[in-house]
Amino acid sequence: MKSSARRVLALAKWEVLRGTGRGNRASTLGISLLIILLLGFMALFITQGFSMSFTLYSVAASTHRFDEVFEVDSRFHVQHLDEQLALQKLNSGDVDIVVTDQKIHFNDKNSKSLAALSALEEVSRTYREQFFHNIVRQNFDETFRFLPIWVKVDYKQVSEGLQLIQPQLSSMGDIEPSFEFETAQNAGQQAIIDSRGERSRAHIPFEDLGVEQDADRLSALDSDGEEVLPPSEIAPQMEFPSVVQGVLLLAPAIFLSQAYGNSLMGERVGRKAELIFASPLSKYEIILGKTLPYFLLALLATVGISSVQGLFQIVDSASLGSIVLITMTVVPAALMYFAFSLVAVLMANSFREMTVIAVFAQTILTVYLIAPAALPVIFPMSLISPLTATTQVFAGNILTASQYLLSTVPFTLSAITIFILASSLFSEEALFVHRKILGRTLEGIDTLTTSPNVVFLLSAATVVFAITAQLAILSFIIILQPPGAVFLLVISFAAVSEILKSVGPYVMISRGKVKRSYREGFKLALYSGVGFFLAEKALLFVMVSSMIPYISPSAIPGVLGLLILPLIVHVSGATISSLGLVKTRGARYLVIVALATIFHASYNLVLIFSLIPGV
Amino acid sequence: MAAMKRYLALVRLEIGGIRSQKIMVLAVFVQLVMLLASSSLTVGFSSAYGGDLRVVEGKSVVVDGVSDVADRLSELLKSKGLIVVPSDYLGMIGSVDVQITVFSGSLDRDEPIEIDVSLPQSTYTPALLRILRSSLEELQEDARQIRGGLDVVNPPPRVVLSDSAAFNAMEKQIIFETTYMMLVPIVLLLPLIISGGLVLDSISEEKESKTLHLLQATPLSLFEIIGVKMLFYMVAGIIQAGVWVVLLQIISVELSNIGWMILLLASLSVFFVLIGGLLSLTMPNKAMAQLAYTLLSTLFILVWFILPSSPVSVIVALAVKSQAISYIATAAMLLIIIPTVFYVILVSSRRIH
Repeated sequence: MKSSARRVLALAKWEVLRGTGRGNRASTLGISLLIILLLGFMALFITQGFSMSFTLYSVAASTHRFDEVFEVDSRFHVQHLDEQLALQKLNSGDVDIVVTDQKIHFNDKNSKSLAALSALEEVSRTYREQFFHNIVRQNFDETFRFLPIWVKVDYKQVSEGLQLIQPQLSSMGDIEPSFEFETAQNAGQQAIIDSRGERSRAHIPFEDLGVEQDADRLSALDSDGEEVLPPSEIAPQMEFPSVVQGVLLLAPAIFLSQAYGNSLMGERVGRKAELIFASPLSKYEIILGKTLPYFLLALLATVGISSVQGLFQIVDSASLGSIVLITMTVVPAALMYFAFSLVAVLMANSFREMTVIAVFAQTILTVYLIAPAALPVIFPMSLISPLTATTQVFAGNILTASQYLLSTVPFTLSAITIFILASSLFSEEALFVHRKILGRTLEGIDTLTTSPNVVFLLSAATVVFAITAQLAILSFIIILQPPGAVFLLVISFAAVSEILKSVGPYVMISRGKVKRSYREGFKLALYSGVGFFLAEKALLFVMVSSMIPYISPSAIPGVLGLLILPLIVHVSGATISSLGLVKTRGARYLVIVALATIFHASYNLVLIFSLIPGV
Repeated sequence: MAAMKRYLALVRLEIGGIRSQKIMVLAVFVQLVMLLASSSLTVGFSSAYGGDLRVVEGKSVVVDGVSDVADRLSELLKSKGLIVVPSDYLGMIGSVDVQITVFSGSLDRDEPIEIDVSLPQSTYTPALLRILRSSLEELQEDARQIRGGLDVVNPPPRVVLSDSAAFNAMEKQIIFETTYMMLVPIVLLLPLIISGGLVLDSISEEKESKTLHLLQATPLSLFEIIGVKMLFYMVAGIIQAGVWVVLLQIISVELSNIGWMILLLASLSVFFVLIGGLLSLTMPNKAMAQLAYTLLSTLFILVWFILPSSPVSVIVALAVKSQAISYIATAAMLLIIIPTVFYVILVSSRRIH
């Protein structure tokens, strides 16, 4: 073990020295400057906020009442015309809305016109409220004349589709007031009216309050330190800025995984890897030694970026604890970027192919990470993306241990599985022989599946991909809400698991590693089905545990008692594939898997329609 | 004529290289994934934050509190289609979707009206929140009116829409703005960025595998070799972008000023291919060239999304037929940068022996 660690570290050190000597001074300086510029720009964008200043809508105004409103929003291009001409232009489609003294004219058949109307409503509301906020800032005595209503919004997390357990309301007499305001005349404890981002926990009288003149938002704190807002400030939670901050943390992994891939590919193409194979290092040690420096550098950079974000008070607490937590949420995604890079290197036959495969895979990965995180309304389901956990920390929300596990375990296990699979391909013969991508993949699996017992482990290992893929499909279906969503969901879920379960038996049977007989086929099906079932239930337990408080306790025994059925279904589906493979070859494999999918999907549909009311 | 034949031979060589490695197929896949992802996000945002007013129909709310505020708020919520449950009857029903508690305050007294709102985190929460907000804003206007706040100042005008109109319009706004401010620029710029990456890849690979020297043994000069490669990828980028313009139209994303759009995309294609070419010639190896290109293109795109009068803002303005199109800044930028980069490439290519 010790000598193995030493060999790995020696290789890692060599990789670092090789990497630092690769470029000349000017190019290294140039790239460093670019990195600093990019990170600096992103940091500026995050701290200062940004608005895209695109002109989208054409407005014809016969009044000057809205001039000040239009000036603050670059989305509108305004021309002042008389009403008749303006309405003619609206009818001809030359303008999107017409603003007169008392009315706003729009074309309700035209989407752009409706969009312009909504944008005008939004900006005029904001501008009007800002007007009152400015009055209050100049004279706090007038606060409740112009901002009479203060609201605290509390979101309760419940899971849809399960029986909702609503908190019972107490009678009125038991309800405690949530906060207290005192007028300027009264001394004593006061809530603070402060600009956003500068919450002070100290209590000072109204007359001593100072508010930044350019603050764009007014809020107050109640006696519990919870934020209370005027109605105009109430908005659905949009996590996009936090998502962007999270993506910034992934930037080192994205860029360094590309450099890692280029380094490996360079050794493959130039056959320099032959020297490494001649060393006493095993293929796993080689992979680890080459990956370690890039991965550690990416982590270091991530810690650096989150420290800077803490410095700019982007994170609520700049403590070491929150930086560690943020880094912990980023590690699985970073690991996956490197895993994809490694796969791209091993699958490709040239630099060019590697670049495109890596970009393709990383694009899908990035989209998978961002999409759920950008939609907090599907929380906790959005925890399928580790970036959601990161945004929760940025947003100052509590991230429970089970939520962290839900967000990171599938990803981490998937990445480790990919590394192990890729390592099986890392041999001289595999690296230096030109082969098609699918051929290479099957070859890798072939190398791994040395006996039928391994099919058990292989199927178990594919569960993480199955669940990740299924949850990705679920999130897309929730977003897109296509017709027949339930059927689509059931069929796609079944297809994913049947395809993955059939991989081990396919390789074993098609490559002649077992006799083509029904007995051997059934044996492989048993290994595959049981392995998949056990791993699936273990992972699901981890995931569901975050939602247990919201499941009716009476349902749990019934669920446990039904576990025998999924086992039978998994083994049966794998059996259909395996036995079919015994007798067929080539493209008919897809037909076999389709049959297994139909079987599995039928079971799922029966289960859904019989157990879940209202579906 | 002979020179043209040589150039075409080089182009055929390039096409052969791409076809054998299925590069274009994978490049198109990347773009398809980006289009799908952008569309999904667009639909997701619009349904999550826009949506249909009907999702909140039948949702129940209890308004706790005895004052004119609670009464007025109940009235407003009822008028918006919510079922307002009197707090006395709550025991019979058991649960509600939204709980509102008015702790203190009255419409006509100069004191804060303190309200707690408790609602579930769910797919219909944004729609519910908008209904609640518009009710509270109307209540706020009532209070301002009664307290004399509107008599002493001249506030900016209010735009009041019915709830159904507001919901419908907001959904259109989210789809429109996400589509034209995000999806359209990304989809149209991506093939151009990829073209720059491909030319960098092509030239760097020739450099590192020393096949550039083999090509120089032909009657083609180094400048011609690099020039033909760049021209090939520029045209490929423009064709791809043109295909996307057509595809977007097919999926009902209408684009205006197609002619000007293609011209702008063509000049951006030249821009990215020249950047890719320049980096491949000046960087010591392919890895550094690729890294530099990734960083530069990311920086450009980020900056262009923020700056007014950037190529991205012009793409958006052209696409939506906005009348405020500032070609000048973009044209100036491209007219200065493109010849400069071209000149540097010329000089750099002469340095390669």
